[in-house]
Amino acid sequence: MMKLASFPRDPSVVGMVHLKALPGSPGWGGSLHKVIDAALYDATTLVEGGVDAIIIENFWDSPFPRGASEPITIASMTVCVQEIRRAVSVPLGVNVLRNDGVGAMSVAVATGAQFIRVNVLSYAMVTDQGIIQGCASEVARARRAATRPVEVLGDVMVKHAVPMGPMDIVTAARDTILRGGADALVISGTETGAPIDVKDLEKVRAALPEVPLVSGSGVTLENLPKMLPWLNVIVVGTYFKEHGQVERPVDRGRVAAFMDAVPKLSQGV
Amino acid sequence: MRSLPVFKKLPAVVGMVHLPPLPGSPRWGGDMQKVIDFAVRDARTLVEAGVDGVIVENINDFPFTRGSVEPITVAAMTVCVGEVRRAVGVAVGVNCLRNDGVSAVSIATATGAQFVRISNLTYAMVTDQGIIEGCAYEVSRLKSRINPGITIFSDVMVKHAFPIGPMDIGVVARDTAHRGGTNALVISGTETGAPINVDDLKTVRASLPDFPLASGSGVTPENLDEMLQYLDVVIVGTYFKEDGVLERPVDLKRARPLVQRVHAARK
Repeated sequence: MMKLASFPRDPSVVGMVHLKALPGSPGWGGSLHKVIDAALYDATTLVEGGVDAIIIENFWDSPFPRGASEPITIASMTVCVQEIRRAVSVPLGVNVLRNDGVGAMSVAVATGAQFIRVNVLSYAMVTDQGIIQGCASEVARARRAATRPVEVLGDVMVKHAVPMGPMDIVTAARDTILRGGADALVISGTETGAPIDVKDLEKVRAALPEVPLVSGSGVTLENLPKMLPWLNVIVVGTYFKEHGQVERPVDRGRVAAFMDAVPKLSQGV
Repeated sequence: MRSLPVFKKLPAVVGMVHLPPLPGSPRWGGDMQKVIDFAVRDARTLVEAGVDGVIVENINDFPFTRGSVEPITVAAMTVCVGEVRRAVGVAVGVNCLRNDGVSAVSIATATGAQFVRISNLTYAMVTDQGIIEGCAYEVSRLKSRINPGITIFSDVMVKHAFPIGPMDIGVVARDTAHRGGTNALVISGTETGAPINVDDLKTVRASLPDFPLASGSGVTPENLDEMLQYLDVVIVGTYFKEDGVLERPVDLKRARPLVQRVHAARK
């Protein structure tokens, strides 16, 4: 298995910090302090619950641009990541939705965050933002500015998106690694909170036995036994929130219960 | 009586925090913490000298783009401005060279910095980056959308630049103030460190008797008294550095006496 510097444990669990609407976005509430406070609450609660890493994402900035985000988004996310970095010591990742891989790399380089997630690194998908094209070339070039390696988690056939025609997930996965420069592959269901089709995991794992696989949606305590054998990194957003509702704050009890279950199930594998 | 919301008393002194090369720029040194430490140290020295504000500027990222800077520049400047804001209590400004007013307002908004300086808000100049056009349209719309209270300083016929044709500084100043949406005008000499042409100051002052004016280059102890006849804000970069050399750290011994003289000129 290829090793990821950001995730020394296999499997590792990553909790999502879904940032409230940032300045410039339609839902912006007028106080960046409130955004930061909510993000710090979620980040520290995730760490208290035992997660191995955190991804910070501008989840509430919808509708998203399909291309580069505005400078105010980059500046605001930089402030949020910097504040979280000050508060917790686990590895941090950045995802600038909908597909601003260069923006995410920039925030990571400036703040010292260890990894980024990019939704469409290779190929192209029809998404709720229109047609989104891969940005692997731009991301790889931006990574050259990094002081130390910033790892790239690239989605394969990302959620909230459909392929533009017949598309084989195995070929897309292989190209995302070998030609797109991803360090790990993110496999998700059809939308946020939706479970992954295990057949997708089986296919990608069979084709790329050495590549770290990351879950991108829908992992819960209930389906963890089924998912865990295929995954090296489990990204959890919705399930960690109070009552499993994505708009609520992170629930420490749900995180802790999940984190307890992972090693027990891993030993059973 | 002229006034500016960011400075309680006028005339005010603003010191420059010139950032070392940032990630992505040709001379980037590879260590973000060193960049932050340099910026915070200069900001602290300036505040110890008594300045009323500081401007954080990516002066070492040259050659500059004439358009929008890269996201890495926005992210790296945001980290630096955020750290300077944490370190000092005075007003903080942002200048995103060469003329990225939208990014400057964005960085200031995200970090809580109180003002920005924009090199070319109106008209157009031939600069070392090519032709740079005014960005007042984009800046004023962004400002009204995300940060209506921010203060904008804008240059008039900025340094390191030539007009494209005959251009009356009095008219340009009036348009920048009344049509460009700036809160204060910056007048400079021909380049960084170069003294301002006093005739320019006289013309602009006569054109806008009640509008805040700032110096954008070349203020020294020798010309300070003359400058203060026309100026409300003195922005000092080069002179405050050790031996007056731009690349060096801020020198408390040079900064403090000049700050005291500006403050002594307050009525």
